[in-house]
Amino acid sequence: MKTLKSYILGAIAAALLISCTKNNESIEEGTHVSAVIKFYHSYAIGDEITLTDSNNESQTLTLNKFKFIISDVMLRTTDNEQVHLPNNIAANLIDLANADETNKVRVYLTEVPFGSYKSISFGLGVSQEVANGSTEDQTRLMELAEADMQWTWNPNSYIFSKIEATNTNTETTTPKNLIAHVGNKGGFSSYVTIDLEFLETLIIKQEISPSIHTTVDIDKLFTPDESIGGAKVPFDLLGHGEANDAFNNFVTNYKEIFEIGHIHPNEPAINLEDVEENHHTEETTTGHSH
Amino acid sequence: MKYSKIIYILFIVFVSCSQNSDEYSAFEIKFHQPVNFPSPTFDLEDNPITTEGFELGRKLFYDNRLSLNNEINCGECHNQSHAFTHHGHDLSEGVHPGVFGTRNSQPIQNMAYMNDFTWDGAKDKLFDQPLIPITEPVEMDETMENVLVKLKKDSEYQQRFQSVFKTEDAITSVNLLKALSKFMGAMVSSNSKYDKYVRGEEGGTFTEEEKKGLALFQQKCATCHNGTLFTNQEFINNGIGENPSLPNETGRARISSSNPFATVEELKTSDDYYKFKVPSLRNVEKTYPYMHDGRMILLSTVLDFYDTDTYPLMTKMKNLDERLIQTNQKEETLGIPMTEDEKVAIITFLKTLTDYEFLNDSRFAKPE
Repeated sequence: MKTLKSYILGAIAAALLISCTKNNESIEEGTHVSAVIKFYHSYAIGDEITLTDSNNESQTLTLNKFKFIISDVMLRTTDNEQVHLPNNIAANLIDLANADETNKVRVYLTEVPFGSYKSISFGLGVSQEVANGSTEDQTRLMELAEADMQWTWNPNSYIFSKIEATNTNTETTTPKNLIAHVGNKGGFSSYVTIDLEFLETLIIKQEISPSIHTTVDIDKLFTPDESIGGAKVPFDLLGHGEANDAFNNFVTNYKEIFEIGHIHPNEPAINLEDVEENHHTEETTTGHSH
Repeated sequence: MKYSKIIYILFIVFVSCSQNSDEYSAFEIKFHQPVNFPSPTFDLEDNPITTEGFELGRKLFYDNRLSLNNEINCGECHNQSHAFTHHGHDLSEGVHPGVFGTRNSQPIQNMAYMNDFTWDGAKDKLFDQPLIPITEPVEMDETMENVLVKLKKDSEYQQRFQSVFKTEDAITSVNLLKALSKFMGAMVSSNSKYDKYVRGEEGGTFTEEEKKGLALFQQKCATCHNGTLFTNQEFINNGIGENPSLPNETGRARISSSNPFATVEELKTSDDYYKFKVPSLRNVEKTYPYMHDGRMILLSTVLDFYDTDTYPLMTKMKNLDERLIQTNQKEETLGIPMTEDEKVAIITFLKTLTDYEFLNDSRFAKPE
């Protein structure tokens, strides 16, 4: 009898719980997409990319892989309040292999409180604090990492970013290829935070799902704007030796590859379940998994 | 939002009522801290050890579905009767016939007190250590994604995960790893004759030879195998020479290198080359063979190795641990001086570290 009573209570609780979460986040039914970040990459997988090696010679390589994890997404309101989005909702894997024909990968932000925002920041990779913190809070991150972004045999198992390209020069016997896998390894810390100001105020409200046009300039990983402190990276020095200057510069250059452009402020509201269905084939790894 | 507190309480009531531990177990597990042990490194706040969680972890530990083609389970290489090592194997075959790993299977005991895991410290938390055996091609060669797919098909797992983790869709990688940790974290070996001797309990009376062995052990071995855990948890080069049949072995060098693509040749120049974790000596009588590659079958061989003048001899790499180098009038001797009698006494003492209660504890065994 006691059990039955608690089951009934439980059923009421579950019903309330479900109805409450729906009221908070739905447009009518489903999960309201607060905003969409559209990452437009400067290259597609398979494109040729020209890089400089340690002999200061240009080499042409075919881009095979470019992907990175973002975590600790934070939006700042126009009143300077920080809104931190939990990693179990907002962490994402951006994989160029899943881009559309315009080299675009979409990231859907949900559960952002309604309001006006002036900037966004996110971590490239996973901070040591998060990796050593609550395991429950890493549920989504760990599943994002599992396919191809995990060093199972490293204390911090997350690979933050990968870039790989094959040299098109077939004449030399040992053409220099590009391979860089970035993470916290062997005492070398690679986590960087990206801060991006919006050019105009981003309004988040129930009726709309605004999108933010963001470019990802892959060349800047190697040839950043030196006038603002970036340093050139000969691509063939990556993946050799211990955390050398080249690798250090390369990781720092990640701060420079993103640039926010215009915002489409009045895009009609979309619902996460719908876009997941539509983009299931092209964005299997970046979509929310339920 | 104003209902959230009430809902939370109701939710807890609901969940706690739906679990009925008596259905599965005739015992209760909670983390037991032996009085003579240090504070645990296990994060009990993040991952509390409960009877139900322990039992779920045990079910997973002994479940073949964690491996490719459902061939083997963790117990394959971690047998309770041998302190959860691979009874007499130097190296172990994984799911692929004829394909062996490169390291000796280590005991699973007192994991809740360790700072690092595996021979080279590839992991610093017990939580995600099982990623290694599950995914390594030479071990279980499975993906976490596949394991989850298999487990989700099982309604018993669905129910038990939900009950332990109190969420819907509870079969996730994180929860799978947490459940395994709940089981392994509770596996504490603290009732050897030695423990009873230290705690002044019944069954803890040492013979003269055991007392002599303990005194010698403290003098000659306890610099590294120190404290209640019988390890200082350091990584050292102990003079074990390279194993020619395992040319890719670099010890801790591959972990401490910042370069994931470092070659063996590059890692040979590392100060961590061929460094391995000082193993705990609890249940050492049962965990043969010894060393990271299981190359020594007998305890007496191990002591002959550490001795200064009997075979096998130590190999002096540039990072050989200084505590194993004796300098007398500019003459260098490698190892620890020990007489044959002393070695016999030390081995007699080491056998007091065997914890039969742990080795025979039915709670840790595969359920019938």
